[in-house]
Amino acid sequence: MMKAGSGKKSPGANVEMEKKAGGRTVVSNAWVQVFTQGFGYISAVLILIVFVAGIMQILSEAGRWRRAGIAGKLHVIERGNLRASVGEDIPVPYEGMMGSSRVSDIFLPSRGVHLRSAFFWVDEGQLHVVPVRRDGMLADNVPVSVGDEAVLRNGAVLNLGTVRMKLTLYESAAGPRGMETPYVTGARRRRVKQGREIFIGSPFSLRRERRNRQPDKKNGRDRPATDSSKRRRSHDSRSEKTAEKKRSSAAQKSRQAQR
Amino acid sequence: MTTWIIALATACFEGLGMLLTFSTADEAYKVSFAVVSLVMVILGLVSTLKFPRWFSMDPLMMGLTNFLCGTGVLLLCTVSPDRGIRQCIFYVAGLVIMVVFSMVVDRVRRFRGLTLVSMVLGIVALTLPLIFGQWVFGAKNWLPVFGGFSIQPSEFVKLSLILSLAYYFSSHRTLLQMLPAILFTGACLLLLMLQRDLGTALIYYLTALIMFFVASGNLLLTALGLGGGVGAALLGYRMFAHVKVRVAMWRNPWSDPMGGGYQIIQALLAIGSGGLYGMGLGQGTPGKIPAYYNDFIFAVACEQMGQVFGIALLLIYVLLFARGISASLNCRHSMNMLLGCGTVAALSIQTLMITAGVIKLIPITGVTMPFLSYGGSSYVTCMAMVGILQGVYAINHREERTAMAEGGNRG
Repeated sequence: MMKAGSGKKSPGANVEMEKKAGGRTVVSNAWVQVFTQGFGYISAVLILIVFVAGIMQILSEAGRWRRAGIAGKLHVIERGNLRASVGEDIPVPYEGMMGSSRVSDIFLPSRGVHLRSAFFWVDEGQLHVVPVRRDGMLADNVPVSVGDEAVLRNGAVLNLGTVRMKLTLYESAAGPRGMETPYVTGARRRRVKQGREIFIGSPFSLRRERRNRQPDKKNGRDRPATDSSKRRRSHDSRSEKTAEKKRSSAAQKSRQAQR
Repeated sequence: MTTWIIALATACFEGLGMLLTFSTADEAYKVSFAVVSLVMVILGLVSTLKFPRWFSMDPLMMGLTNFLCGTGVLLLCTVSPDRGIRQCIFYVAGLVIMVVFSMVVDRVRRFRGLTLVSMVLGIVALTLPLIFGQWVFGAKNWLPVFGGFSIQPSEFVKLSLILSLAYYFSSHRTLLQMLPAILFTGACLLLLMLQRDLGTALIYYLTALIMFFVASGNLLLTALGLGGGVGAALLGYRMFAHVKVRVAMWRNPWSDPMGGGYQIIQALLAIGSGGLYGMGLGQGTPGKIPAYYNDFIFAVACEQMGQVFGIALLLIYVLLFARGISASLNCRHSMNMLLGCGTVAALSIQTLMITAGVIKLIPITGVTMPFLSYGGSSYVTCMAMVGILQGVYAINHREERTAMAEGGNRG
């Protein structure tokens, strides 16, 4: 234990503290030490003020930028079985996927639309759409098959499943940044046509969404239904199992035909 | 209103602190400290209150960055006046770089050329220290330039890495299209391993992994990548002797209190002796920590201003990163979103690594504390990163206004 007046300095008792600065020794006064210790309290208060002010600003700006990065909108004309009302506007970002998955950039909650139905991107004021699933897409009443690219201008009408929407693109819509290479390459299109497209996107969330749709499976609504599959299902009087087999074989045949 | 509060609180903090430092300073430094205090207060106020209007920047991000920078300069002026004055010069340069980067992110539309050039320059910059560099603290990551100055290229290459990853991971690309960025990351990691700069390599690796996860959302591949990283870390532990020493000193620094464990023990003693409200600005014995002006500046801050200040300092970092993440996730362009997320990831990993290292949660990694530590390369890079975040904010701000003007309504 250190004795008082032993000649050694303890950090707490150095009223006349020596401080080396630039090779010279400076002796600080008692008031300086009082002030420096007081600064500890002042700095704690000031930094907490900055923190609280920052939190307040973040809270006051919650929900800001809701319209940032929106290139246009899809106006619902016919809703079909879309869980949205006629006249509703669905925002169109500059790029992404459209589908009935909750993680889709254009979220179309409809039984007639696959979880991941089509790629889309805006370039030079036009909306480019490439379907990856057979949801019966029509661009201005022209059918668009899987892997083909539809280019939609302002005012075009898009049908997807049983939903019919009118596209409005804003004047400022140019395109996603940093996109010199093709958004959807030729190789990717070929894979899409062959039904081999591998998504890098979240498989777990999609699997979860598919699982959540399982209760519908018993009612024959296991997958987004295209027009042809609906017709086939209505005329089919056999058991659900046989119908399932038939559907899968038909899909296989069509895939082979495409190849 | 809150912007004014932050700006004034920062100005008060810097002004009072510099006044105190000025009053106890050596005569030779009085004039320099007067200039430094004026520059810090005036530039802090102007950049927080005026830059948002002039360059569409976020006032909150600007205010928080200024507070952190001011704290860094103040601490350095008290413990190492020469370095404090130089840090003030870096601050001015950093503000200019921040504005430049903000404008580049905001205005440039095609990034292909910029990305390719930055990738080539990045590889060259990481190769140069291997040829011309010198071994410093077990790593060969410093490059001597003119006038006795040295730079750390691995700090600047962080920007190339973030840009290349953001460019090649954006727009729902396939694995093949992502390959150039993955190869570039691999090459950077290899060069950093050769330089034995493992702390920076860890930042690069985790940033790339986080950006991949943000771009793809693929948990499986990310987990595989993380597993590979753990394997590489184990390999590094077996290969490099200084890593073994650092891990041993992290587990028990008191096993060699005057050797390998000296630094961490001194840092812990400094944090403990500071108490809740600190020993006072300029008090204590920060010089006992060997790297008191760069890696261990957090320990100095806790010793002089207290643990309450230290915790609040970390909260300010959290607020800054939260703001950056918020700006990034509100982008609808994947490129901008990834730029922002990558920047926040790099900054937050660096902060977490050094803070956790100083308080002995993880082995010390030898990286700087963003905005606080002395060091031109790191400081300017951190300011450039804030510039990227400000650019992302500016894009959001502009698009919001345009969409509102054109009748965009999300309902």
